[in-house]
Amino acid sequence: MTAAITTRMVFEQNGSNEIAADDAAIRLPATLDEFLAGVERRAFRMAELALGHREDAMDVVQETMIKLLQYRDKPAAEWSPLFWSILRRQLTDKHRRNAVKKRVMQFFGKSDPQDEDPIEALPDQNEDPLRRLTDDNSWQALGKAIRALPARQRECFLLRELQGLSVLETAAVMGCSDGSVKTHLSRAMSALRIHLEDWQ
Amino acid sequence: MNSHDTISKKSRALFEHSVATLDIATANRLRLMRRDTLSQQAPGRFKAFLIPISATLAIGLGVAIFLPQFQASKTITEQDTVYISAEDDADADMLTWLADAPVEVSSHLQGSL
Repeated sequence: MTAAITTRMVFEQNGSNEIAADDAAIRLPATLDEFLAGVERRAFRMAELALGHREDAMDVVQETMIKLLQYRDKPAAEWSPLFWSILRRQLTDKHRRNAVKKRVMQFFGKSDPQDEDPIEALPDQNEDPLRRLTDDNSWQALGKAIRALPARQRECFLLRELQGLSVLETAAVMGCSDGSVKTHLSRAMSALRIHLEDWQ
Repeated sequence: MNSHDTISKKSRALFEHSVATLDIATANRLRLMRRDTLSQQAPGRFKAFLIPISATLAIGLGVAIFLPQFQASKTITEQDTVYISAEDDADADMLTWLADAPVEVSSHLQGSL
């Protein structure tokens, strides 16, 4: 087993203290299978937040995995930025396709059947119902607030705040400067502060 | 603690919790999806090489089929035969003589040779 290299999954807060996200710490994976096993759930949740639909999120994650196969010969250290970069593009494409679909449906006077996800209504018996209800409500509120953000701010928040990529990694994934990342993130946080007023 | 920190911490905690408590059915679907994906060939590279390889094979096959026919049509016939006439013999004799002929070197070229 290769020596575990812990990368910086450290969230900088106001430049002073730092919170090491031990559970999110990344070791260099030995195989692509190991890498995908480590990120698939996070990718799915991120896609779900961005799209608001579980089946769409599942499709996006699958497409991302398939596209990552092209880079399986690359060094393991490059898989992570490649994966998040591909996922970001897939999410953008899906948003565009959904927007076009919605416009066409509206033109023909039909409602979008994707608005309601039946899987969301299924109960999960593993958890305390009250806790689940509270978490569900918060989750829904977070998802709604994130989807209301402009695309670049949304991507920035998902990658930087939720996935925990560093500013430089986020900039590389988004294809912009680190200054832009900070600007987008600041604007995203300001917008979320308004949308999630109850959380404060 | 300012509101930025509150929203950031709470959303992150919620995200981590949602990842950790992902329902079994979805987790299983993701696992199967990963297995299916990894059992596939890398699509991009295969497609990238498919067209050049097909084109090369088609050209090679075409050459292999049509080149022998082209060469067969170019076999020498009786009409194509060139007979060397007596005049040509004379020319050949003269050229042979010229090749062996003694050459007189002029005086002004002697120094340079």
